[in-house]
Amino acid sequence: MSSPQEAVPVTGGFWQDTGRTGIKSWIFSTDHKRIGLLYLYSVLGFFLVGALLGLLLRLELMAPGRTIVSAENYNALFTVHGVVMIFLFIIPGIPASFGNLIMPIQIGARDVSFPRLNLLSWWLYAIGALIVLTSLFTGGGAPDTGWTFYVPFSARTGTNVSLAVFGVFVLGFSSILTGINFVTTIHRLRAEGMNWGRLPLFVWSLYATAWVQILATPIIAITLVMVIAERTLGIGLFDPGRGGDPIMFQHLFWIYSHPAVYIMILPAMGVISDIIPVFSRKPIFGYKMIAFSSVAIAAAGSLVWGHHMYTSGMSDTAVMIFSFLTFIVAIPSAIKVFNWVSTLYKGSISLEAPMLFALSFILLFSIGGLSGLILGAAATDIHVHDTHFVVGHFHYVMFGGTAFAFFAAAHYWLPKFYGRRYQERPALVAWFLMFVGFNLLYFTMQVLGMQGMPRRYYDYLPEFERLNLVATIGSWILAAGLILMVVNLWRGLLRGEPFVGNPWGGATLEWSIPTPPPTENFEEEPIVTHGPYDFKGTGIP
Amino acid sequence: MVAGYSLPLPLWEGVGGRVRLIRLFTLSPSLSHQGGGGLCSNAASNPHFYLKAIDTEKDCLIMSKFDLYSNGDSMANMLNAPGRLLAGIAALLLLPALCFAHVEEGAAKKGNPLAPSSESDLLVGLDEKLGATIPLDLVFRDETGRSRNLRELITGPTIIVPVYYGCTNVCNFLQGDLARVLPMVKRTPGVDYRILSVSIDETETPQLAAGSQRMYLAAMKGPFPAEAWHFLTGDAANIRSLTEAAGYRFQRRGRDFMHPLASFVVAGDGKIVRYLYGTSFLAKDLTLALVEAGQGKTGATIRKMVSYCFTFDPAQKSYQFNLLRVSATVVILCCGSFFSFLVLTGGKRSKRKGSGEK
Repeated sequence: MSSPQEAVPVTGGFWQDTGRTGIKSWIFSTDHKRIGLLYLYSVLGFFLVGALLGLLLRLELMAPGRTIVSAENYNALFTVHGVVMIFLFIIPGIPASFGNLIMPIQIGARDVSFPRLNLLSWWLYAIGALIVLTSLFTGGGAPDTGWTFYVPFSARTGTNVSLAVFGVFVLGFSSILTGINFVTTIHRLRAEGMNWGRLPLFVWSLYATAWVQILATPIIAITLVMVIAERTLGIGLFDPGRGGDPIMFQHLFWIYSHPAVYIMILPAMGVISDIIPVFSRKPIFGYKMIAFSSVAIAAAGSLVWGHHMYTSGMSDTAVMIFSFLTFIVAIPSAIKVFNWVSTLYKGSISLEAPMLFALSFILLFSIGGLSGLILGAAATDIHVHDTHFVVGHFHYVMFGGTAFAFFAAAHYWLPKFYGRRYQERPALVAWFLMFVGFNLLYFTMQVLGMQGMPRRYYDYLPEFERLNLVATIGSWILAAGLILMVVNLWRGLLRGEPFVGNPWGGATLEWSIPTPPPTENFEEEPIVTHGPYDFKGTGIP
Repeated sequence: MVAGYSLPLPLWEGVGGRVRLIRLFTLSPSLSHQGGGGLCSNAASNPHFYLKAIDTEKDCLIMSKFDLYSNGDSMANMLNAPGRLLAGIAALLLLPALCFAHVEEGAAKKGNPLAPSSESDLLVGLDEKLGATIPLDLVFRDETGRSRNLRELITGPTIIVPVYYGCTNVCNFLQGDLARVLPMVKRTPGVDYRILSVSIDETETPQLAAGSQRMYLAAMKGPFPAEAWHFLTGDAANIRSLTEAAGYRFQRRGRDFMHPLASFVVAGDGKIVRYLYGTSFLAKDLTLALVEAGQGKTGATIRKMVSYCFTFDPAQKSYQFNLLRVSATVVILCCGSFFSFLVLTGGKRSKRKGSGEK
C-alpha cells in the first residue's frame, strides 16, 4: 500500500475534539459524525463477511454435487449470508451510517435530537451483532433455516436459531431508536429557512424510512419472540395440531420484512437523488414528486407483504389485492427513475466515480424492479417462486440498488469527512469490474431461475452446470472489483490527495462548512436561503 | 375430559382410535366437574355419567348416557375401571343411530370429504345466515298458553334456543348450561337481553313448556326474572319459518329429533348476529354476542371497546382476544400521537446552547 502522499493522520474538525482519547473517544462519543463512522465501519465489516460467505456459496454451486462444503454447511452458509447481509449490513447500512454522518448537517443542525439515544442505538446494534455472531459458533451450530426463519422448521431445527433470533430482536430496537431519532431531528432541528420544500431528497428519503422503521420493526420483534417461545416453551402458536397456524408466521414476518425492503432501498434512492443533479450540473427534475414518491413508496410498500406468499395458501381475492398493490408500488418507483433520467437530460454530465455508481444504480434497480413485477404478478410468480430468478431479482435490487448507492455515497461523501480523497482511475476500474461481474453473476441467476433451478438447493441437474459456472466466474470478477474499491478508498482516505472546499459543486449545506466538519458542524446557525439543488454560486460552470 | 382425571392411553387404542373423548361428565350437582345444573331429579341418588366424544370415522359428535358404575362407587373408582368404560364406548360404537341423533356443528361438515353423505346429513344441519332477518310476525304460544308474536317478544338482543322439551338428551345440556352461565352474564336480564327457548316439536304444549321453565329457573343460582326467558311452543308452519330463516335444519325421528346443537343471537330488529354452538357456553362469548346484538343502541363505550378487542373465531366457534388488532391499534395510536406531537407542538426550532456532551 504505497502512496505518493505522506502518511499524515487526518486532523482538524471533529477528529480533534473531546476530552477522551483512543477508542473511548469513539465508542462513548455522542457526536453524530463519530457514530456515523462507527456504523459505517461496522456495516462495512459485516458486508465483507457476508460477501465472503456469498463467494463460498457460489463456489459450492460452481459444479453439481459436493464441491467445497457439505449440504448441512451449505444451509448454514446461505442462512448466515442472509442474516448478516440483511440485518447487519443492508438495513442499518445507509440510514445509520450516511444518515448519521450527513443528515444533521444537511438540515443545518449541530447534532441529532437525541445524541445519547443515538449512541445507545449503535451499542444495541453492536450487542445484537455480537449475539448473532455468537449463535454461529455455539449451541447446535449456525442456524440453517434461511434468513426468513420460517416455521415449522425454525421451531424444530436443532441449530442455534433461538440465539440468532434474539440477536435480530435486539438489532430491531437499534433500528427503531434510529427511526425515532431521525423523525424528531428532521421535525425539530431544521435550520432557519430550511422548510420542507428545501429539504435535500436524501433527508426526505430518510424521513420516510424512519417512519417505516418505527411502524414495522415492532412486528418482527413480536414475531421473533413468538418463535423463541415456540422453541423453548412449545406453546403451539404456529402448530396446527395445537390450534396454531404456520401461515401466521409468514404473514407476521413479511408484514415487517417487506417494508424492510423499503428501509433498505429508500435511503439509497435518496443518495442517488442527491448525486445525480450534482454531477449533471443541473437542478433535480421534479423535486416535489421525488419527495412525495418516497413517502408513497413507504406507505404503499407497507401493504404488499402478501406477495411473498402466493404459493403458501391464500385466498384468490387476497392474491389479487396484494398483486394489485404491488403494481401500485411500481408507480412511485418509476416516478423516481423518470425524474432522474429527466435530470440527466441536457445536463453537463461528469462521469466521476460517484456518478458512475449512481448511473449503474438506475440501470440495475430498474432491472431488479421490473423483474419484481414478474414476481408480483401471481401467475408468473407461481412459475418462478423459490427459484434462482428470485435470488437474482433481489440481488439486483439490494446489491445493484442499495449497495451500489452505498458505494456511490462512500465515494461522494467520505472525502468530505477525511479531508483526503481516493484516486479516480482505480475507482473507475473497480466500478467497471463490479458492474461487469455483477451482471454476469445475477443476470445468469435469473436465466437459471427461468429454466427452473430452485433456490437454496445444494445440488442441481447437469443441464444447469454451464450457467452456474458463468455465475461463479462473475462472482470472482465482482469480488475483484470490490477488493480494489475498498483498498482504493482506504488508501485514499488515509493518505490520498487533500480534499478541500467543494470540488463536486454540491449545493447542500454539507458543502458550505469546513472540511473535515467541525464538531458542532456550524460555527453559527446557518440561515438557508436557497434550495438543495440550486447550483448558482457554487463555483461550477 | 373431566378435569383432574386422565384416561389411560391403551383404553383408546382398544377401540382402534376411532373415538376421541371430549369429556365425561355428570349432571349430578354433587359429582359434577362442570359446575352444572342439577337437572335430573334423581341425579343425586342415582347419578348417570355422560360421554361426549367424536367418532373419528363418521366424523360426528356422539353423546350418550352411561350407568357406568353401581351405587357406592366413587368417580375415581369408575375411572380406575377402564374395562367398564371401554364396554360403554364399545356399546356406543355399536349404536350408529346415536351418532346421528344429535349432529353438532352440521354446518362445519359441509365440504368435508370425510363426512358421510347420507340423507340425514342433507336434512340436518346448520347454514349460518349471519345478517339475515328472522320474520318477526310469527306467532307462538308462551308458557302460559297466550299467543304472542315475535315482535313483542324480541325487543332487544335475544338468544333463541331451538330445542324440544321432551328431549331426554342434549337439549337439556344446552339449556342447563345456559342456566348455569346466565347469572354470570354482566347484563340485566329482561332489560338488556332475553332468551327464547323455542320448541321444534309442534305437538308440545304450553304445559310442558311451563314445566321446563320452572325447572331451569329453579336450577339457576340466584333469582332470574321469568319474563326474561320464555319457553315457546308453536305450530309446524311457524316453527319451520323460524328455523328456515336461521338456516337451522332438523328432522323428526319417531319421538325424537335429529337437530343441530346450536342457538343464535338476534338483534332487536330480528337480524341474526351470531350463532353459538355446542352445549357449553362461556359467559364471555354470550356477553359479547349480546353486546354485538345491541350495538348502536345502548352499548356502553367500554363494552364497545371490548367487542373491538374480541372477534369471533369461526374455527374455534368462540370469541378470541384479537392480539393483532389490539397491538396494531396500540402501535398506530402511539405513532400517530408521536407524529401529532411533532407537528403540533413547538414547530420552531429551539435555540440550544449545544447538544449535550461531546
